[in-house]
Amino acid sequence: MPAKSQMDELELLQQALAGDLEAWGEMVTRYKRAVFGIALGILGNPADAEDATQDAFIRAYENLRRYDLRRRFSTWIFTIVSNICKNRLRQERFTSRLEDETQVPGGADPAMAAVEAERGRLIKEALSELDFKYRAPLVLRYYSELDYQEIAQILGLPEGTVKTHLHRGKAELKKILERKGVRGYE
Amino acid sequence: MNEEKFEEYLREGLKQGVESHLQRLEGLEERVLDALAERALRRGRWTKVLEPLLIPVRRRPALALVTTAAVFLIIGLFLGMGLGGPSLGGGKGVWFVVAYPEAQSVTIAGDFNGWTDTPLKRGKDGIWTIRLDLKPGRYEYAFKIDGKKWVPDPRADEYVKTYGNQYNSVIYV
Repeated sequence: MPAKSQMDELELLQQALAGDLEAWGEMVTRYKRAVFGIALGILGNPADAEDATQDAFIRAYENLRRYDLRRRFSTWIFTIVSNICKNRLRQERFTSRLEDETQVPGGADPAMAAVEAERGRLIKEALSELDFKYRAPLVLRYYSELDYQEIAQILGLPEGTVKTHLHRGKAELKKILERKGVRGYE
Repeated sequence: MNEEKFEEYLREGLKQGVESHLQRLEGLEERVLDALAERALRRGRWTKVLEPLLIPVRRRPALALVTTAAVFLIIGLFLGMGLGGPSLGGGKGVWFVVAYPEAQSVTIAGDFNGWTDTPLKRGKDGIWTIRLDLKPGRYEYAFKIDGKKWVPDPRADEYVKTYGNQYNSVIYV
């Protein structure tokens, strides 16, 4: 039997369905970064994003029997984490918390790293001022690099609505960034 | 305003936001698996407490099978026709089903067979099945893959922790 890291997704999911928790661990390894990116983009707070990511993989495993193996796993897990984030944003404490704990990665040119870290912080802050309906499609489009159809599936919206929300979301985001004095993208 | 530049700015900003916090993902696999194990354990504890009050609930294909058989039996008796079919032998016919396409053998062992290996039958799609006649009650069990690897039943009613972070499945008949 090949090592878990060399198995394709379907094999891993079948093994996870058969009770093999190690197989599920490998699925977590493969998707944790993508799921965390969505959670962080939507929630804005790293600690909450970490919780939401962990929660998403727990819920996904507990509902694995309902997962249709013909569907793309990414669509399914992204739907779960998006719903978790949406529910958390409904709770006021999550909307008002935004930790400024951006860390500069080691090893890079300190000045450049600081600029990039600042850009990340500004985007995060600006996104946190948007409604979920604009925030989620922006993250799924520009972080996860998904097409309109997949975003529509994940958010349970028609494709046309996704396009509208993306268009309006970007316009809102530009306004917020300009208000903060950001014009570096022009 | 350049739309493409803005989109690129957004992509880079989102990516950077994640890069800055990747250390939070270290050990996530273990945390997820521990949480799953803890939840399973908690469910097991509560069920033990509530067991005397609970009506056994089954969520298996076998439930449909048993229910259908019961309905036919009642109709048959009502019509005075009797009904042929599998003998339940004082117990209920319970199906155990597990997907393991790559396995050469799958056996089941539990309270109901003195923890000896009873082989499951392989279907052409790698789904292994067995029907056991079980009297009403609570049973702990596990599947064994290729004679060496113990795995829980993903369709079990609950799980209980044994030794070495292993889990037995629990079924209520």
